Amino acid sequence: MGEYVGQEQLKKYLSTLSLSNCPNSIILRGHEGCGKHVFALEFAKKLGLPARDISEEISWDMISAIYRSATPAVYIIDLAKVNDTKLDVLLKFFEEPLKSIYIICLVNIGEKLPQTILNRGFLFDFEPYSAEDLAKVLPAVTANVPQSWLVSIIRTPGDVYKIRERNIDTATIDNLVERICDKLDIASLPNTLSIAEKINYKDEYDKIDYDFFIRNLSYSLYKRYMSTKESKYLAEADVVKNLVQKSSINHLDKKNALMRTLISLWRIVK
Amino acid sequence: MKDIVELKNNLLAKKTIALPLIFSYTSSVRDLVKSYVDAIAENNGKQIIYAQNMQEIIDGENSTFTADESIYLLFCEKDFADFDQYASLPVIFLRRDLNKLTTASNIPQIDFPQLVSWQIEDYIKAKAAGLTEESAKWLCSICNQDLSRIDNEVDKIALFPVSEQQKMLELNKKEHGYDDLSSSTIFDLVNATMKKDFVAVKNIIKDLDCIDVEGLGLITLFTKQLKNILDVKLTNPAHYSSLKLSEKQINYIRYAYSSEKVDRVLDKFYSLLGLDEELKTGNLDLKNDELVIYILGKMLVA
Repeated sequence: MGEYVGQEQLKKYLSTLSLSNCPNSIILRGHEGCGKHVFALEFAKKLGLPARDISEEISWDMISAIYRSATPAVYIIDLAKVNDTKLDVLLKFFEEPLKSIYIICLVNIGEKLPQTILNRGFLFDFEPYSAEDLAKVLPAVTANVPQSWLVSIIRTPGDVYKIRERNIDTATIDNLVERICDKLDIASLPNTLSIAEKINYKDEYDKIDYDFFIRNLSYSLYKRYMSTKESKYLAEADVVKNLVQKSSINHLDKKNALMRTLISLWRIVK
Repeated sequence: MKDIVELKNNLLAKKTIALPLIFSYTSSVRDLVKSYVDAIAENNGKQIIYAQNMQEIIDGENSTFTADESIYLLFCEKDFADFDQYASLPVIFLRRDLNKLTTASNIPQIDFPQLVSWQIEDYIKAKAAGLTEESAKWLCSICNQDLSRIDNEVDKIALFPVSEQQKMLELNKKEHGYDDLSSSTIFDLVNATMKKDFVAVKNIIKDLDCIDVEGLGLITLFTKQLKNILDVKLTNPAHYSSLKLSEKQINYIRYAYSSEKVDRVLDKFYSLLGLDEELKTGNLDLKNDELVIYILGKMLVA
């Protein structure tokens, strides 16, 4: 846990845990890439139990087998990977765990969490990372990233790794966002909607990263408002912020949501 | 040309058929109409071109590069104010209407009379003698008296010996083999709704249980169509090449939706994207039937 950057409160809590005082059902909530999975593995290590991610294989048969064997273990379930039909199975498992079994549910902020799970589980929220913490994750990467990106656009260690792995060019995103802020009021609707075609929603890595783009746009519009005090920028920033919040929902059609946001922006400036 | 009998005789005698012609028919005999169109093309030694609008035919005829070897087919949603102005063009006007033309015309009009039920039932019995009268009537009604669908179904039954035919129909009925019998598709529904053809929408909705229509699929098709309309309406013609649309599609959108106002199209597009978002994020929970009706209502009323 020594290499785990930030999250001091969680680390402190983890150090007090033992098999005798540990809750059986735990919910870890945080932004994508904040380290929920790593934390769950550390948790299992601390309890001295094997950890198993069952998010994609959850079924009645599998749960029955777990109940029958009753082998002490930590089961990790990423809710973003669980579809609605499997959710019923999960509810049963989460509500009635065996004493020897520990279940950790990983939830993204903004993702709809069934009330039954929320009521039954012990909820941990990840703290936001500071710029200093993020700079420590991969110093060779963060050194080349504009300072303004840390925290406002890059929120988690996972984001830092994403920049390295996908070789994301921050300058291209900055340029596009600047052009939108400058020229939206003279752009036609088809022009505005064409922005949605330049974005990578899944695996078109030569296009602009969706998450970094919308966070950057939201941040830049707020910055514009702060420097100009023009109310249109505030209204635009709010619309994009709303999109940023919704975007962590697993089933959202990001392209449609972005197109709708672009129409809202276009309507604000016209 | 006076009527369908004379047309038939001329075709059998391999005579060249003078064009233009106006064909009036109902959807139940569309296969029959198609067979006549094919026969005319073969007799006249020409190929058939489906035209989107009159301008396309005029342009085609005036083009230096078009050889004189085409017959144009044009579906007429409404009668032209003056059909006669096109009297020199090799075109067959297709009207899905047996009523007289709203304006007088010298172009010969051929009516394809709707077959009455007993004629179709006799046809079924002739092909599959093992079926009872009731079964023939039933088949007729579930196929909505559409000859091509009836033909398809009867052909399958006729594969069995006469003594087994009634049994096979009962068995197929029991196993829900006829549950999906509808000539309409989700695309017909989308097109009828986009054109605000209330009668067509009403007829398709009657068959909704037999058509594979998913609410989310419907949203995708509508948003795609609306986006295309917006693109065409708001893009300067000089930049049409930047759109991912063919020239035919662009022309069709320009003419078919010329009276649609941009604001209204944009409102519909925006509200459908919002609906898609609500559904996919789980904020709106509707059964598929309810959702389909809700979407159609939104599209037709907006």
